[in-house]
Amino acid sequence: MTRLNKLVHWIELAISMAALSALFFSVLWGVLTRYVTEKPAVWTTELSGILFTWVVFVGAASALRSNQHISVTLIVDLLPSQARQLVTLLARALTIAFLFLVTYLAYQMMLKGASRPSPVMRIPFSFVYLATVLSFAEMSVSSLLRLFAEKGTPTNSTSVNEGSI
Amino acid sequence: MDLLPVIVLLAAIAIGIPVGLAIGMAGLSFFLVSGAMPAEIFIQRMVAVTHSFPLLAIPLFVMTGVIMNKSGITSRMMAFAEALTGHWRGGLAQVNVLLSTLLGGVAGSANADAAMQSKILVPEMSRRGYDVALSSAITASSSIISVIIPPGIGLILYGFMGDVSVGKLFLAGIIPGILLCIAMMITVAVLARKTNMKPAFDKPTSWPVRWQAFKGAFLALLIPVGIVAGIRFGFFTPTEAGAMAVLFSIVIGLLLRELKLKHIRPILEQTIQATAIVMLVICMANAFGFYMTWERIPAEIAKAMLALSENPIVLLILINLLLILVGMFIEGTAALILLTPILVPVVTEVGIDPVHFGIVVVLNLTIAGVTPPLGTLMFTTCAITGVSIPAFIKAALPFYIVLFGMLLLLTFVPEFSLFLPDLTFS
Repeated sequence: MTRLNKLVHWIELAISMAALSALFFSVLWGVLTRYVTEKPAVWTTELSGILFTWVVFVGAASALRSNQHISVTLIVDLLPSQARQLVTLLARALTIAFLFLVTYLAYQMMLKGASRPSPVMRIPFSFVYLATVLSFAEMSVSSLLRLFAEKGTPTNSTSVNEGSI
Repeated sequence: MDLLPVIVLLAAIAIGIPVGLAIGMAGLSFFLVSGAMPAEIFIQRMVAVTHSFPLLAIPLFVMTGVIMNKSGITSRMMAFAEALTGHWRGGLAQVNVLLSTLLGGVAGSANADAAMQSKILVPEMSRRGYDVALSSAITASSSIISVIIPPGIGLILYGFMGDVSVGKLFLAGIIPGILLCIAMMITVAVLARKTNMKPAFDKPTSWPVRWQAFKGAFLALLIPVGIVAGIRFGFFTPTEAGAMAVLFSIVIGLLLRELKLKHIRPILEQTIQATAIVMLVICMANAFGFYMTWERIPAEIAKAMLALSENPIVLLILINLLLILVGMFIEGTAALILLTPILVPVVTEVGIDPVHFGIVVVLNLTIAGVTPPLGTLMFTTCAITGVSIPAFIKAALPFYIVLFGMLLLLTFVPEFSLFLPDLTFS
């Protein structure tokens, strides 16, 4: 890992870990106030939703960098080596194009969200979309860098993860 | 009907693009080509999912499972399971099945269960002379139980997508989960006799020792009871139950003096990773769902299916076959999200209870996780234990028969699923 890579990883961890902890306390606070105090907190649902966006998208960028997302390499693995390299290259190019496009759209959405505050806490929606902008920007750049670094060496077998049902 | 997004979806998955991104590409292609809506709506749909309160249950139940592994709850559950079945032939194999069932009541992810048992239990089984392929097959197959026993991520997703009460689904999963456990323990017993597996202990554990093991696991065993009872009596929603489960597993870990400050980082890290992987697929599928609703695809498919047959039994057979087929090519979570909104209206139309149907769908798509070609549970287990896929499949054959047998049983005897929800909700 380069130093920049380490720094990005550290920032991602800090953001997503803080968001997840806050999410847990927010949901918990929602239950507890309902039984303990007379006035249940109304903001907890909204805040936990916003935090969840950050957890998911920052986490997704992190997972993409470490190649943890589920993919089906069954068909690609059946191809002869040269065709496989070509198909993998195509897949990566398409992925990068998609990621850049989504980054741009997320940015547009963020600009629009500035004038729309959330109902209870009055947090502008651009703060929500900021998570997607950062996430997809990072995914675009890291995928692009990897394309140059590895020159299309095919990754083998479906990656292991502990996330699906 | 514009089929471009469907073609993009299948092609992108086939060339090895991560499933979540592939679904996203397909969804985005609709916005770009049709011009029905500005393309930013894609982002809005994608993000909207993370603001749904029911789905917040996912990170919380994932976190509960991770905390249990770090806080010594898992090892105490294992000791308890071993004290009960250790003296049987194939004792550790029975422990493997029983542990999935016990842990299933607290954590909700089969993949996490399979990974944990592959790391902890399979090496121990190998040390005592069990065939490693068989141990892997038992581990992967029994992890299916933890999906059906509440709380389960699959049930939460089905409830969310199909607009079905998650509380009812949780109750519905209890009896099928226990039946699955019994069926698998019988299978293991038969295999143990045939292959002359060794027991873990020479003689039955004495009752005082069992009592000791029970006390060790007692507090943790209260968590599932608390979750189900709390939801049933309206004390909290499934999501809030998730937060309570996290809180209690932390408290138990502290009481057992095993949970330390140094565990905070790995707990959060593992939870974030597992959550993000599932949620990216869900977010993208929601954006893709916009295309399906716009083109009225669920309604069209429902009409086509009902034209085929209005007999509930025939429909259930057809749907099960369809799910098995889809499960071969699309990963379980993704298939669940894409198909639930299509299938639920069809089955309710012919009078099938959507709660019962939920158990069928989730079980069916989870079984696809242990069978080729796209068995994520199989891949997880084999990657950790180092067993080759063909060896795994050969060892898993008896379990395939049992799983499909149970699928048939649970499909055609709705009472197993509906007994508890009907008993308590009516």
